[in-house]
Amino acid sequence: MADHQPLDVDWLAFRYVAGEMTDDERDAWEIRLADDQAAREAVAAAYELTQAVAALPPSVWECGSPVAAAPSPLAGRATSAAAPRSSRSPIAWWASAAAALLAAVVGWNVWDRASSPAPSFDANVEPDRELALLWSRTRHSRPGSLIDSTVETPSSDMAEDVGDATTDAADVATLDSPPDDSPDGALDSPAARPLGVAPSWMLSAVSGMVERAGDDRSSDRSTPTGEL
Amino acid sequence: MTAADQGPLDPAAVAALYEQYADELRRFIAGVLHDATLAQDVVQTAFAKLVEQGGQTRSESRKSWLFRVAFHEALDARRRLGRQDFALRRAAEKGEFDESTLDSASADLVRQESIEAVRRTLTELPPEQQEIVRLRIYEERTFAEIARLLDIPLGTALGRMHLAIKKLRARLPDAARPEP
Repeated sequence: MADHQPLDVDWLAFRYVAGEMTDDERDAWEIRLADDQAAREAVAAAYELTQAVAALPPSVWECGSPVAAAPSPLAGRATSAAAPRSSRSPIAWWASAAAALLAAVVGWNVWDRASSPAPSFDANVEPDRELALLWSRTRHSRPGSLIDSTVETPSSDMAEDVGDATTDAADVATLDSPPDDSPDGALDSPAARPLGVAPSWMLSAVSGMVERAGDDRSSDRSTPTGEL
Repeated sequence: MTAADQGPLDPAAVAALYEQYADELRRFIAGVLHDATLAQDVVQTAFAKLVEQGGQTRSESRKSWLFRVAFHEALDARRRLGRQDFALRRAAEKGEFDESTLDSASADLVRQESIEAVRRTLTELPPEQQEIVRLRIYEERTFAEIARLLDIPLGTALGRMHLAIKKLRARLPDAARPEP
């Protein structure tokens, strides 16, 4: 009589308590209950198990998993027969809120870039000497980092490149205004920036332009005119 | 059985047995009858018989004796309340636990440590098993409904519940109280 696996006993006991058995199954099970103490204890455990789950407060299930604080024995009983609980969990709400906040931040950043006045660059005004030197150096270096380009010796054609630099830098400036929270924002302020020191955002932009220009030139050289 | 086992049991011994086994016995009978209040009556009857006939039992088998006597008392009670039992079975077939299982009498049968153990164990179950437990026991849906709801075969729903019950059962605290 006790040759059944414990797992089978527990499962059968649960099905019995939950009313999942057919009449024939139930009759057979109750014949077994008359003699099998392990089966009787399994019924007691199955009953307590189902009641314990039913006694869990609704808050336990609200996160989609039973992670809430310790429940009260009677907390869940009043609502256990109620309609199915909402499947919308607080985690989903938090995720939605976080996504909305992220979208708002990104949108604000794009709007701010588009609407904030771009640093004007008057071609008639003599550009910062530092920028001119940088431009000259980088144009004649292979495409690479700004640090690499600044260690090169100034070339002799620096003067003729200054004009190009002013035009290109103006284009870059309108594309990449400095972020407000730049750590060196104070230095980027025209009033605070020492004469001859280009703003960091502009140097970065120029560096990028140099790289792109280098790439374009190399591709132009490698591309046969006839194919254009 | 020795001569010392003959005759009525010492009331103190009966009280100790009641302290040790009464709660588990009530849970067993409530599982049979789906009625915690009626289960309490049956358990009291069983202990009354223990007082009368306990001397004829061996001390090491008194728990089993109590459960067996109570089970037969429960079957008798169910036969006497045949029509009510029919209603209970119909409710069970529809996947509904009888409201009497949710009353205060049944609340007394559930130990706080069991509720906490169940809650902790549920957190360790895979989400698909948690879902089945919630739908079947907490929301009282049938397995057929659950299978439709989750768009899974009925056997899959049963298999997940089977695994969940195995784990939950293993974590329940021992039913019988330690001997005083």
